[in-house]
Order: sequence, then C-alpha cells, then structure tokens
Amino acid sequence: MHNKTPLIRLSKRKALPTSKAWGIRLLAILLSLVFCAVLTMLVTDLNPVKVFATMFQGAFGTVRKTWTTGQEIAMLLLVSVALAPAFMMHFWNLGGEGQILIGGLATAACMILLGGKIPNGILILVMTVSAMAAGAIWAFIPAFFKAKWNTNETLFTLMMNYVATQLVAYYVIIWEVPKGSGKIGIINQSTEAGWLPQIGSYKYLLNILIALAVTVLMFIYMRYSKHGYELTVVGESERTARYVGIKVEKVIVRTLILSGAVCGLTGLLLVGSTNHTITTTIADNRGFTAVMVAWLAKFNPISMILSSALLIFLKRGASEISTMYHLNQSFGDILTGIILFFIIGSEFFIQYQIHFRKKGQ
Amino acid sequence: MAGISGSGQKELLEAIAGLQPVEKGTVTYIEDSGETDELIGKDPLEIAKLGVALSFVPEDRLGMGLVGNMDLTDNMMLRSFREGNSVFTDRSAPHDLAGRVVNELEVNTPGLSTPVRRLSGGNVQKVLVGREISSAPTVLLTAYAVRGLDINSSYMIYDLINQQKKNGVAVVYVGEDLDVLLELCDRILVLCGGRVSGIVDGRKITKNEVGMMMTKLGGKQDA
Amino acid sequence: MFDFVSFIPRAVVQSIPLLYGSTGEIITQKSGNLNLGIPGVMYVGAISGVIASFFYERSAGGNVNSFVAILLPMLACLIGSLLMGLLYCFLTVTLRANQNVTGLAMTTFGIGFGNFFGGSLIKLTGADVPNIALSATSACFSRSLPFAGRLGAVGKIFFSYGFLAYLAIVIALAAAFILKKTRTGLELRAVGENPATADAAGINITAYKYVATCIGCMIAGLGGLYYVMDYACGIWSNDAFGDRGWLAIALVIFTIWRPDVGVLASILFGGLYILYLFIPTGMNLSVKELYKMLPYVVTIIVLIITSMRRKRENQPPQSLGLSYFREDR
Repeated sequence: MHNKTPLIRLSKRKALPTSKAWGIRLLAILLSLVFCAVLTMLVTDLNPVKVFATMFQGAFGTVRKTWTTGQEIAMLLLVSVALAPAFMMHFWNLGGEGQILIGGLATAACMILLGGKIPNGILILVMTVSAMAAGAIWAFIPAFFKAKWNTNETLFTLMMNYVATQLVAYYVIIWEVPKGSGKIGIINQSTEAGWLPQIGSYKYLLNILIALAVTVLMFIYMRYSKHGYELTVVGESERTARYVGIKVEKVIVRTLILSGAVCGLTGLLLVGSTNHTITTTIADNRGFTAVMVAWLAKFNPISMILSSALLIFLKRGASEISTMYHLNQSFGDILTGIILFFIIGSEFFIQYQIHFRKKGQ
Repeated sequence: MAGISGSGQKELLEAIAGLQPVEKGTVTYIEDSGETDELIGKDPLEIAKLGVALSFVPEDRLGMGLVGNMDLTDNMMLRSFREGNSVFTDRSAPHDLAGRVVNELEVNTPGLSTPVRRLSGGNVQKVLVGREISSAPTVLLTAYAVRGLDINSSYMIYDLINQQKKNGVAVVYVGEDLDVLLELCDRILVLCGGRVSGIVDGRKITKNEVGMMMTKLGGKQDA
Repeated sequence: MFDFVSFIPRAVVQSIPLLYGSTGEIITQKSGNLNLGIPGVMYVGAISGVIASFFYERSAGGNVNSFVAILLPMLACLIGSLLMGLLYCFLTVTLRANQNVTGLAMTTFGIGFGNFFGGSLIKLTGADVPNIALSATSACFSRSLPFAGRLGAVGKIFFSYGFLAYLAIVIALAAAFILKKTRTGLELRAVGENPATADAAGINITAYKYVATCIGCMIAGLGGLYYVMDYACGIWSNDAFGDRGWLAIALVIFTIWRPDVGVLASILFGGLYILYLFIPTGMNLSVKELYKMLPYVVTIIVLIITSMRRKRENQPPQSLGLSYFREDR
C-alpha cells in the first residue's frame, strides 16, 4: 500500500514572532521594489538607482513638493485611521470614498449657503459639525442594516459611494459658477468665508497636525478605551461578545458612526482647507487606497503613518517618473498594484507553514 | 446534569444565563433571603450581575467565552471590563487575576500576554473555568469543564467546584463521566432528547439507572 | 412621445458591458470569491484587445481580414482577463489572502494598466498616428445582421447589434442554465455555500474556485472589449469606461445572482444610464445626475429587502469573501 504523505503540506502557524513577520513583509517590499525597478527600466531605459533618485525627487525634491507629500500622506492617513475601527471589528467599510464626499458636500453647502451670513468662526464650527455628521450618517445607514438584518456591508457601503458621487455631481451643477461650466470653482474666493485658517505660511500644516492628532486619538481609543475593547471582541468573536453581554448591534452602529465621522472630517479638510471647492473626484480614490493602507498596517493607527507614507511616496515618485519620461500618469497605479500584490502574497508565508515531504515518508 | 451529548444541555444552560430565548416556563433565582427573581426575559448582563456565571467549554474550546487572539489579561477582562467610571479600561485587576489563575490552576503558558489560542486545549479550559470561578458567582453553571484534561488537572477542577459548594454557591455541573457525576453531585437531572428524563438523588442512584434514563425517557426498561 | 425606437437600442448597447461584467462576477461569486477586481479586469480585457488590434492593423496596412481582425483581439482579451483571474486566484485561493484587499489592488492595477497602455501605446511603439482609432477592427465587430436595416423599427430594436452583444445574452442564459440545471452548477454552488461540506463530499474546492473565477474574469473582460470595439468605435480614451465595472457588481446583487435576470436587468440599468437624454428638455443637467444614481439606489433596496426576507435562495453565497483552509474543518 503506497500511502505517501503529500509532497507539499500546509499548516497554520501557531504564531510567528513579530520581528520575523516584519522581516518577511520587508523582504516582500524589497522584492517588489526590485521588480518595479526592472519594469521601469524596461519602459524608460533608466537604471535602478536613477529610478529611485527620480522617485525621491518627485516626493521630496523641493520644499513645495515635500509639503504636498506631507499633505497627501496626512489625508490618506486620516481616511485609513477612519477605517481602522470598522475593520478591526471585521466590518468591511468600503464606503470611505462616499463618506468623504458627503462630508465635503456638507462643508461646501455651508460655505456656499452660509458664507458671509454668519461670523466666520461660527461658520467653520458649523462646517465641521455638519461634515462629520454627514459622514457619520452615511456610514450609519449600512451599519444599521448590518446590525439588524445582517445585510452584506461590503456591497452596501460600496453602493453608497456612487450614490454620494451622484449627489455631489447634482449639487455641483446646481451651484455651478459660472453657469454652464459644470464646475463650482473656488468657493468664496474674495471673502475667504469658511476657509479653514492657515497656520503661518505653511498651507498644509493644519491638515497634517489634525491628521496626526486624530491618529493618536484613534490609537488610544482602540487600544485603551472600553469601546475599543468591545469592538475588538466583536470583531474577533461575535459569539463570545454576546456571551459576555456586549450589545453587538450597538457596537457596530457606534463604531461606524465614528468611522464615517472621521471620513467626513477628511472631506471637510479637502474642501475647506485644501481645495476650497468641491468636485466629484475630490476624494481621489482615497477611500479605496485607505483600505490597503489600513490592511497593511494591520489596523494599527500608528503603523498607518508608515504604510500611508509608503504608498504616497510610491505614487508621487512614479508620477515624477511618468512626467519626466512622458509616460502616462497611470504608471504609478501599476507600480502600486504590483507592490501590493507582493505584500498581500507575503502574508501567506507569515500565517502558514509549508512542509515538504522528507525522504522516506 | 447528565445526558448524551446534544440532549439539550447547552440550550438549557444558555437559557438560564439569558443567552437563549425561552418560549415557555420559568427560571427562578432564589436569593439567600428567600426573595425570588424570574430570570426569563432578563438581560444577560443583569443575570450576570445577580451572580450567575456560565462557563461552557465547547468542542472547539475557544468559541464561547474566550477570544483566541487576545491574551490572558484581556480574556480575564471579558467579564469585568465595564467596571469603573472611566472611559478607559483598567487592566491591572484582570492582570492580577490572570496571574492568580495561572498559579492556582497551574496553567502552562509562556506568559500573561500570550494569545490564548497558543495554549494547549487543557490550559485553555483552565483559563476559562478559572475566570468564571474567580468571579465569585452565586450560581456556577459549568459544562464539560474537564473535557480532555489529564487526571491531575481534572481533580484540580473538581476541588475548585467542591470549594464553591462549600462557599454556598449553587453549582450546575454538566458532564459525561457518570462516575464523576455520582461522586460530585447531590442531585442529578437527566436529559434525554431535550426533555427531562428524571431528577434523582445523586447519592442513592446507580450508574445503570442513570444510563437507562439517558437513553430512554423515564428510564424504564421495556416490559 | 417617448422615443422607444431610439431609446431601446441605446439602452441595450449600454447594457452589454454590464451584462458581461455581471455574468462573469456571478459565476465567480457563486464559488465564494468576491472579486472586487472586476473593474480592473474589464479594463485589462479591453486594452489587451486594443493592443492586439493595434499591432494587427498596423501590420496589415489597409487590408484587414475580418476574421483575423475579430479573432486576434478576442484572444488577446481572453488571455489578458485570464491572467488577471489567475492572479486573483493565486493570491486568494492558494495564498489565502484577504479578498477585499486583493480585489481592490487588482482594480487599481487593472485600471492603471489600461490607462497606461491606452495613453502610451503610441509613444512606446513609436507609431505616428495621432491617437488609437481602430476603425477597421471596430467595423468588423459592430457589423450587424445583414437584414437588420430592412426591418424598420423591429430591426433596429432587435437586430442592429454587433455579434458580441448577442454573445453576451447567449453566455448569460447558458450560465443560468448551467448553474441551475447541471451537476457542475450544483457542485459550484456547494463550493460557494459551504466549502467544508463540499470538500468532505469530495468536490475539489481549489479547482472550482480557480475555474469559476478565471471563466468569470474572461467573460467580464469581453465586456471591456465590446465597449471599446463596438460602442466606442475602436477609439480608446482613458477612463472613458468609467465606473461601469462597479455598476456591473451592483447588477450582480440586483439580479440576486441570476444571470438570466441579468439580461433584462442590465438593459434597465443601461437605460437609466442614458435616460436623461430622452427626458424632455426643461429638466436641467443637474437632474441627469440624480438619474444616474438610480441603479445604485435600486440595488441598495434589493440588498436590504433580500436580507430582511432571508429567503435562502436569495442570499449571497454563504462563504462569499472567506478563504477556505481544509485544516480548519
């Protein structure tokens, strides 16, 4: 009877020391960067060193570029941090894009409808509250249905994105300036009503500070507060959560309201501070990129600072290469995709162990 | 509580703890003063506050009552995390509790911050049972507490249970080993196919009679 | 009077990419894989066809053999989509990665891939054409049945489409039949509902997931190809395909995972997409945006109602989005 053990056998690892796990991830990132460098060489005739030099140039080449990089990191970070509590609870909130847009829409609405009519300080307060409330409501709706009827949240939140996009498109035309242009243009350009204050001469410093502050707060919330503990238990084992008397429905709704509110805050910053206008593309797919940032960071807000920095560096670096070599800007997306694939694949080696059949088995 | 696995033990215990919706009947909690409380319809949290502690060790051990990816301290905190008025969790008390349970029950673990799923099955059980017992319950509902444990550990658990009895705790013990049941229990409720087959005196009944009641409602032999 | 004769054909033309996308995704989802990379796959399918066609048209000069002109892009499209499907399966089935993250990464990659080559093909190959306009190939793709022109209104509504449109309907109906009435379909559904049980019954989970996902991707890719070759007359413009991929995913839910319902439902969605053009003027442009919202709103309502009613046949496949690991059983 030939009963050989299979040539390759898999088993789930009990646990891997964190250093080893990060070692594997780092190796994956390095391999992917090599792959990308080769790809770039094929397309641009640059050698790898020059590739990275150009990328660095794109992200940090001038003071202005560095500030923009910082701003981009801050915005992506903020969205990722927003998604963190939901994901920790195993609620796949893919609606970040829509929640940002709705927050931005609320902000723009305040700026346009109330600008000049109430004192600026109050206006900004109203903008902030309404942006966060709008985002919160947008996340509340799918959460409510998930809690009550176990409606699939992945698909629901996804659809809400496009409802939000169309709402913004609708209002862009209602408020368009000048009429017929299809764009709103800079809101309150002359009065600067509702424009978030600029700190010193640095345009993006406010955004960066807010993003960092929220990151730290979220980290504390998730790790040290009772709410954070509850949502972790719900995410790990809904059965156990109920067993110890945690009101799972309440936790789901509460966490998503938080998630949506922070996305709304991002919308506020994008509309009120960065761009002073609103378009349907103002969220720029951050809602989706943030999913990957959050996942890469294992839902730890502090680690998200690093993962968002990595992705933004790649994006801006690749953009620089594209500009300099007259390539399409989408080149960056290809690189980002490849690096993500490598990292996604590396998780396998962290979670599972491969056993090869030894001689005689 | 005796009965073939799957005769309704889990459902009955869950019903008492408020985790299983109940259609008919009553569960009466009788305080020392003689006052009675109706448990059916109460929130599980309220029932837990009365001192009813449930420790059910399911086949996969981690499914009910423990979170595999959290460490011992955080698992100890599952019962007590709400205490205190602060918005922050206080890990010092659960940490101490974890230490005590590890010592008293001789739990084999690399440390208190080890994720529970890394412990071997028997040790996981000790953590679970230890946590419930340490909550100073008035009613201790425990099922399959010694499932798969070695003799030494099993006896540790039995001793703990007897200790609880001495402290005046009402203990409901669900188990499969009839010898143990007859030794430990004052009264035995036998379930068969979801119904009560009989309630007998643990000190006087024989293993055979209990076995008969487990397989046939009422336990009477065919004429 | 509402101009049905010109509305319906335009709605149908809009519906075909959606039908391809949703049929492909339904097959994939039935195996338990939630492939959020479908938008990316459709871009890749489209651009693969474009690349093949671009090289062929250049090498053939003025004489395009219509058979080859159709076969080459289709093959390229199928291969491109297949590769995407294999990538998804390798990551999520073999390496057991998170399906949401993998799918979104694939969408980012796929759309980037499509836009990159669409924008740079001319530069990369040193061609001297102003833009990619594959009119010869497109003419082959969109050639309708010869007698269509002579049948007036009926001809316009039913027979004026390129062959890929009819192929989409055939594929959708075939998929519905296979899923419901054959043993293969039953086993596939078992894999998606309860892989542990299916595995115990001897069904090869890995094979079914791979095949279902790859076939699903190939079908979806054809939707991208149709869009470029037939609808867009062979002209590639970056991002022109837009969010149709996501609309196709919405369609999956709306049709409650039934490809045959998808045939009509996709026409409904396609119609909503262009409805604003047929509403009497007076309704301004802004309302058109609200109309575009309708497919998504309608899908959300369907999601909610099916989860409330909890009829087993109308639920998403139970293991949707989850990886299967035999040792967990």
